[in-house]
Amino acid sequence: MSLGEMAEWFAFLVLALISLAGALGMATTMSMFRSGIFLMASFIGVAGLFILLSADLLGLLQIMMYIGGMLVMILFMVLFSMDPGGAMMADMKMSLVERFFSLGLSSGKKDDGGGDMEHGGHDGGGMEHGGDGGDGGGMEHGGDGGDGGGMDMSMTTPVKGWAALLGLANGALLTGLLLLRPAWPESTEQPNPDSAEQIGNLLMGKYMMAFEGAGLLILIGIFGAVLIGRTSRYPDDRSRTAYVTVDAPPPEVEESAGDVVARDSKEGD
Amino acid sequence: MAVPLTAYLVVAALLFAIGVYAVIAQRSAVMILMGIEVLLNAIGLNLIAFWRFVNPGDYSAQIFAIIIITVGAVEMGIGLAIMLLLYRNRSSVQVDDYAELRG
Amino acid sequence: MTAGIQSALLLMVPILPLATAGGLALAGLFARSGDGRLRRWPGWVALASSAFSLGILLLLWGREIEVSGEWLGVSGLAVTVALESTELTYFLAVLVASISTLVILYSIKYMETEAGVIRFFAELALFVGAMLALVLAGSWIVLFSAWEFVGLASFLLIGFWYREAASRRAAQRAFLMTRVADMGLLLAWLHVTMRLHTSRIDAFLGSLGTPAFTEAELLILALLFLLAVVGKSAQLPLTAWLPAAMAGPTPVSALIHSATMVAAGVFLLLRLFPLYEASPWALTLVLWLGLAGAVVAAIVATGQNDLKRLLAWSTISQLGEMVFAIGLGAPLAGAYHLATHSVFKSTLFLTAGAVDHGAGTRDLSQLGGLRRSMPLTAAVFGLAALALAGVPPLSGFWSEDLIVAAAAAKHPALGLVSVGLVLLAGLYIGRAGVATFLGTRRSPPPQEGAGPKDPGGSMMLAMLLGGAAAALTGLLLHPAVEGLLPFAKESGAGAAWRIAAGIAGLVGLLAAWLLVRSKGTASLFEPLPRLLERALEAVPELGMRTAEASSFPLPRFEAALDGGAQAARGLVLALTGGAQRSEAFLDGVALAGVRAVEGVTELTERTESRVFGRGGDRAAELLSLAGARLRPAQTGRVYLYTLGLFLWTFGTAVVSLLFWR
Repeated sequence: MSLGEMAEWFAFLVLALISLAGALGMATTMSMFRSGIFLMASFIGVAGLFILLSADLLGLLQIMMYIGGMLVMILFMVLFSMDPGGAMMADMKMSLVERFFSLGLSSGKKDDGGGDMEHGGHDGGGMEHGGDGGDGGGMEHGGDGGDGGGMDMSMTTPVKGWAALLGLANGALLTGLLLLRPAWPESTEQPNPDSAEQIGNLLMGKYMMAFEGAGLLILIGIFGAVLIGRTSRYPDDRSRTAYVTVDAPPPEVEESAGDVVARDSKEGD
Repeated sequence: MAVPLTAYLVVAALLFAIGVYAVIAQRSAVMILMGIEVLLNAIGLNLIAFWRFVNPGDYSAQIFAIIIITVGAVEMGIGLAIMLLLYRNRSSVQVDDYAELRG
Repeated sequence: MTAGIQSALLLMVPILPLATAGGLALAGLFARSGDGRLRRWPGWVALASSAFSLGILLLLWGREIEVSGEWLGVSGLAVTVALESTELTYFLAVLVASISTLVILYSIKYMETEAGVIRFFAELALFVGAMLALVLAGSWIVLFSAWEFVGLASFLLIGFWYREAASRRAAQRAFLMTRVADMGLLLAWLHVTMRLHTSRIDAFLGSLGTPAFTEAELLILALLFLLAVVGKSAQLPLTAWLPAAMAGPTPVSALIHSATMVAAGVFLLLRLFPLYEASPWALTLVLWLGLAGAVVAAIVATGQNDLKRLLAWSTISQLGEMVFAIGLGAPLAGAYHLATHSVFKSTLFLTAGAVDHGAGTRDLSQLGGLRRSMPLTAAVFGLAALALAGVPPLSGFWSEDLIVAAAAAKHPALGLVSVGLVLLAGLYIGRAGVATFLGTRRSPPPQEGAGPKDPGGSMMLAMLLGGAAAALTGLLLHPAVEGLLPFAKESGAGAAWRIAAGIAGLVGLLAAWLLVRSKGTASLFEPLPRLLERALEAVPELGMRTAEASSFPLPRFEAALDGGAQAARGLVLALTGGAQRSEAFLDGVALAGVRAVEGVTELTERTESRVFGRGGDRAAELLSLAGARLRPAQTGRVYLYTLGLFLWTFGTAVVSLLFWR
């Protein structure tokens, strides 16, 4: 193996590790903020892989679009959430991977803050949506051990185990298939080093319609986002913002109404 | 090309698996969006890897990747706008707080 | 002066007024109008920009400059943006810039009491910039966009008093009519560009000798361009918008609707003269179109009583003369007349505006005797009118002389007609001048002291400059005109024709004087002018009516449906009346039937309630039970849905793998 090939392998392994570890960390850490940062690492890793595959333009695009644009949006959104830092969750029961990626999150206030949340089963107290855990019958939450009951602050859904299993099975299946697959019809051709020019020509020529369509999509997306996200000038004008109804008991149905009508018509005959 | 195609594809497959886990296991809508981004990334990686090894002369694959990135960006923008609206109405973006479609 | 500096200067020429327009428009957003001290600054700013453009142009005297850049290059199609200063374009640019400067100078005082001064000058500057870009354009795309911008500016300025319905309507009409004509330009230049893969105008003109285009193609192109010319220069049959455009402020009429924008059509003919040379059929059409327009408009002009409308019809007639000259194959005469006409006609409009301001009306039947109260205005008007009538040695004489000479060289009959045109010109402008300035004021009767006065300030200055130019342009230009323009001088006809042309105008003026003295301001050839005017105005009216009719078919359709429904309703009512009577009879019969049926029904009902009713109940119970069982599957929890989705996908993949091979 030549030096260049070794370097390539090394780069590949490092980048693959970054992207996989980043993704895994994103999926398992207890802190949403940390998730965002892990996601950034994963994006950078994939961008590096792109560049390794001599798609330099796409690598740069990946970094600029995903990290410069989307991740900023995500982090902005994360800050809306109840516990972006994850300090409340840090003391909960966690699996090994979760524990690893959530290292050092503990708030140190185990007795007053986190403890109360964890054992919130006795009463939701001042929290407004304290009762929401109960509306589904509580049965789905039952399987998740410690935090079942009234106060559900967990980062993950109750079917986490299933999800992990499915993910593992998925990965194993795909990897197995790939390893068993005979060789792909590979080409020895070298790509043009100036990929930007090639892509530009394609975008402005063959794929003009797709390009314009994507532009239109973005425009409509912007309109939609603005339309959905803007605040109404009149707080109680329900036509301006989509209004989410809160559970209300359905009106009582009169059982005998149909019978009465039937009888009436018969007598009138 | 010292690194074979299969290696890249395996990385993409693992990324996809992690994305699947994140989409299902996360409660917060923001986290689900992040999972979707990982899924899209895995697909993009697949596309580019196949392009590089199978047909490097035709740059159409990169166009597809660009379109995927575009669609991802739009989806993200709309998704975050919806989340903002939900948060404004109920101060929560946990997906299981919204179970109005329960049977 | 290096080439770089020259190019930059040439670019500045149109960009300066355009930037001024943008700046004024921005300033208009923030400035408070109505502040007495500040009312004049927009005018001075616009004047400065226009004067700077003129100065730069004069600086570039005698140089052939070309600025061009490729804007888009798509698969062999080069869309270039270019300005070029050749003999023809330079000549016209100087003309446009100087007349604009003059008119803006005039407007500063004229518009000082109006609301919306900033808007006015912003639009005026927009027009000047677009017009300069139009004449200097070296590529189709610049030419076309400037052409459209000029039309837009004209639309905005005609509708300057947009609160008045007449202004709005006139603006819309002008815009629509020129728009229709612009379609010709658009189609033609697009075709040329697609064909030659470049949007350079000179590339097209250079390709005319080569077999790049077939003869039929050239003819169609020439006709399409001619359509644009007809619309912009208000030639037959699209004339009516120009008189209607007089609803705008007078400086606008002077600048746009007499001197520059309407001349753009003639300019296009001149620019593309090689095309028409290569297509003799089109050239013949140009000739007859121009001649017909000139004669008809001149006749209509003799019957007008509104001073501005009279001048507008006169403008159409003069433009027709230019088109006619080009059709004769005498572009030099056309270009020359374009220049002199611009000068004297804008001057005439300026004085008409002064009359309007001073006397409060521009109706000939109410004016009269203004010579005493407005002597300077009268003098300027007289000079310009004499120039229009082709009286030597004023400017109009020299160019009309060339036209008459060219026409007579073509055919003596054409020469006679063009002499007749000069005579008509003398007649209508003489009628206007005599009725306005000589005799006594008709209505209201003249009073001592508080009569109309000559305007002061910048208005007077501009009018005097215009009058001087109207008098001297021909004299100054004449020795040099051949060197200034890229066209050769035609072999003129004999001296007899020139003398006839010189005399004809004087005869016309004299006749007008005598007629007004004897008959007052009554129209001369009644009812011919009125009929022609009606006919010409019917053209757009017809178009607009058709458009309106075709754009609102629904109400009519609906009305027709309503009528149909009403008729059907009447019919049904009548039928019902008859039916009621026969029904009473039938009732008796039916009652018997009902009794019989009731028996059967009783029986059926019993069967039904036992068999079908209970069966239905059972089925419903089963369904609701199944529903109740299935309900919990719909948990409303997104993660369960996604889990199901991915599980399903995974399962499908696994199963399909098992069956693979």
